Amino acid sequence: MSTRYKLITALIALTGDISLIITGEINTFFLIPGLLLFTGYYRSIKGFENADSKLISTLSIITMILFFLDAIVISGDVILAVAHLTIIFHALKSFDLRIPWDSLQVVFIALLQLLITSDLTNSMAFAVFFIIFLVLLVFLMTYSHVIKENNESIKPFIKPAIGIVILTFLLTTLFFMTIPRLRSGLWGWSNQRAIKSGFSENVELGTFGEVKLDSTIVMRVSLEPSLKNRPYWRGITFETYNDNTWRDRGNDTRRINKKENLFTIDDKERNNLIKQEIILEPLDTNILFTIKNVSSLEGYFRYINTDNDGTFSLPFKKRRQMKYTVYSTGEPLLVNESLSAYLQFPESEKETMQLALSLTEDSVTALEKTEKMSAFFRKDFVYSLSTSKPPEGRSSVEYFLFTTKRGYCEHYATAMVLMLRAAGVPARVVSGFWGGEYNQYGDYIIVRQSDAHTWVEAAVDGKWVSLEPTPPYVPEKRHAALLFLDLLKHNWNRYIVRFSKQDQQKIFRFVTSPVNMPLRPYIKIGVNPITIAALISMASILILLFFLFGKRRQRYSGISRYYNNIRAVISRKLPIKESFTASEIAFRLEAVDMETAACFREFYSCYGKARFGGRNKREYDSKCEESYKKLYGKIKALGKAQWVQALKEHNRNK
Amino acid sequence: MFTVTPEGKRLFVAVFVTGFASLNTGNNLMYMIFAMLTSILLLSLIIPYINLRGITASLKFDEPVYARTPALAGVTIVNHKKKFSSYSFRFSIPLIDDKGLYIEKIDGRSKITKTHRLLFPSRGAYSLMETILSTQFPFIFFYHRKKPQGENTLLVYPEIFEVKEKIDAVTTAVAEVQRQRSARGEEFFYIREFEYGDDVRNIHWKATAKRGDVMVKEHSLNEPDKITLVLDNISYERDDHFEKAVSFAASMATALLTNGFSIAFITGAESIPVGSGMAHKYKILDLLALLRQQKIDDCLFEEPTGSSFVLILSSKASPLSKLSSFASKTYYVDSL
Repeated sequence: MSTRYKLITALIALTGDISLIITGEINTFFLIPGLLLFTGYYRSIKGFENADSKLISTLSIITMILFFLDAIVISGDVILAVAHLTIIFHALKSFDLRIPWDSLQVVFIALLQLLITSDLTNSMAFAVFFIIFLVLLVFLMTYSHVIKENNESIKPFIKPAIGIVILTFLLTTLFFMTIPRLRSGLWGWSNQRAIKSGFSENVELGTFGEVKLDSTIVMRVSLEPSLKNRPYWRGITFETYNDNTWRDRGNDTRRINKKENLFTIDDKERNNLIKQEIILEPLDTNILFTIKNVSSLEGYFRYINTDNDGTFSLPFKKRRQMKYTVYSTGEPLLVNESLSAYLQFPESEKETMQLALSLTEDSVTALEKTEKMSAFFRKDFVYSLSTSKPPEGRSSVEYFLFTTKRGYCEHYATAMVLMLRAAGVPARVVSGFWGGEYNQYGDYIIVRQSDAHTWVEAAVDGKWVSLEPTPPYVPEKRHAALLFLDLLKHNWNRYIVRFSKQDQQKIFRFVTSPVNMPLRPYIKIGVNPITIAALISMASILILLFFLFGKRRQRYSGISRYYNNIRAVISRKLPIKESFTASEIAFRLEAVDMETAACFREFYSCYGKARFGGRNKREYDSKCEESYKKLYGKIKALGKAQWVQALKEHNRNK
Repeated sequence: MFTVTPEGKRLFVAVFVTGFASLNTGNNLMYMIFAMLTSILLLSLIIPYINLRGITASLKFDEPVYARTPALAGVTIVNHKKKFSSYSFRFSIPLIDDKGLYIEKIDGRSKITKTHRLLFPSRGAYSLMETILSTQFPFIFFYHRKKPQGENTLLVYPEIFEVKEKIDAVTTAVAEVQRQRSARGEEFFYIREFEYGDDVRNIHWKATAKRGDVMVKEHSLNEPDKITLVLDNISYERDDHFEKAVSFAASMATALLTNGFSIAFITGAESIPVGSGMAHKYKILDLLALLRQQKIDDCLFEEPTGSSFVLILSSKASPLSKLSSFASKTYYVDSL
């Protein structure tokens, strides 16, 4: 094997390994044996002898035992265990590259690594490794061909290989865009790690502080039309407060089913609504974030849940990045329920009650009370993420209101809601995100963990009015280059990671628009998609099995069938490989019977003429049939002893 | 015609597994890998097809071809494609030369000629229509084979082997018979057209000038130089013995003609009258190249003329063995 060939093989192995490492999920312990890959390929390229095969086999067995341990105990995850296994196998293989085709094993291991990477991350770095892998794969396969033809120099093939790389890339793009997509996977699950968001049904006061220090991107939103004010992305509402913890009671949760690809809440005209195209990263919550007062929602979900508080959620947490579109009015929600739950007040917060009553003693209406409260928080209070815990026996709210006067949104919102309730105004805490960073290069908003926010909604004049007690603060501005990089990431997510059936339809419409082709009619199949997918899978397996193991004669007709039949009959008696040519078969037949061998040659000659003979084809068809019958009869007439004798001779020669 | 290689089967499995994984997870990054493998699979089918499209090949032999004797063939490959070069393919003749002649690259609208060593395993008429162009380029997943345009038939003569000792024995035996007769000397026999292999010294210049074609003098040779070869082609139990007999007859005829003898050749249903020179040699070889075994009922053996004839029989049990007592020499193939 040439040095270059080994080098390309080494690079493929390295690409697979590094692609796994960038996921950040690989256990460092398994990287240590993986480093042996460098030594192995260095030895191989420098022409050292391969390692002892017994040693490699023993190490492979140990690796397999380690794999089971890893899957059950160390990682506790089969996918990660397979990833670790492939890294070690790559290292072992580097010491044992025997024949050129061993490189194919390296390719298949690297391919498996790339598949695992695709499951563990959505990172844009995947694209880099994918392209490197594609280029190396084409070159390695071309090189394999060159070596198979006993031609050591790849120089004359470099130009065509570059052309093939370009063709492969273009075709890959075409296939990627056109391969039909299901709405979501079948039984698959994702191994991507979800972002810890802090959104749950029970939230302890003070947990948001940690979240707000995290600049991880949570979602990217394209808004239409753009809004003057920084938008509030509503998530979950909390009604009950006790022992420093907010709880969501799940106010009359109901299920909304999809109708004509849309979850409809009311019948408002979509043109007048705020359209939000949201790409949400995998979060540890099933909440869907929206601008308030949602009219309809579009997304690849089977159904969604909503409640009277205007919270939207999925039936279960999604561990994949997801895309959905929301149409909202942005107007306050109407109060159409009993408000008693929003007046709940913990008995321990007596000082807070007194403060609220003293603040609002002159106020009559709810509106006046809310204004008073808002004005109160604008004085003497400072926004700060560094807060201290209250002393033992002191409530967090009172410690914030009367002692520190420092805190962040959670403290302000909690304090205001309790004070409003104390003053008789029904109120609730709303958690979600506020604002975000506008990316002018891509015309979308980047929402980060640090944009997590809590605010207040109070029932005023039959409406849930949003109130902001938190003092304003200036969000951090990022460098233009970072915004540009984020645009690339956004496009990667939008057009590759979240490429969908609708995108395919858009492309189809665009391509067919010049000729006014009719759009594909909407067909609703009344069978469970999982059943359809299962049927397709089974059919594919059957086709594959047929292709791989089906007898050749079933695939051919006429004279080709004769030839395959003869090969099959002889192969039952003599050790004939698939790769044997007719002359090799004839040579082996000579050891059995010269006449049969001559007959075989005659038949093959007729077969060749009939199959490839052009104008005399018909004539040779019948000749071929005749010689086939003759040969078949001769083979059948041969005694067992002759075959055994030939076999013995063959083994002796071997 | 495409054939899947073992590596190709593995590629199919990889495509299937990746396709299933993509469908199962709905993960677009897996769809990317699936699309890449599908592209490679498709290109493995399309490129070999384009690679061999517009390629024609022809085979030419400058020398006669004998069975089991290496022969040099001139292979001319033409790429009729306007722009595209063709890479890494083989020109081969099934059963004769399975490995074939390797062509690394041929540019569009160009022609290359290469010498190729071939070994035909047996005599007979070979249709060069059976030649094959094959390629796996650019990968190793599929074989694509096609029959190039052009048709020719090649006659492969029987294998010629060394028979010097046998010739010495024959000439001694013939001389012994002839010693008892008086030699009549060399006489002018007739004038005929020039044939390939004739000695230029035999050209009859007057007749050539009159006819406008090259004419040669044919002499009636001395009696000792006339030998009739009789080949038994009716009673062989084994095919290899028959082939051996044919090769032996061809070798004897060639050696005798080279030594200046005139030869007549008789076999089951065919015979060649006495003659000499290269052209006569090829007449005999043409007959022997296509000679088949016959049933005794189909045979019309001519009685050997002249006093010197050599018998080539399958065995002592041959129905022609009764002639052996009149023959100058008799050879039994089963004991050669």
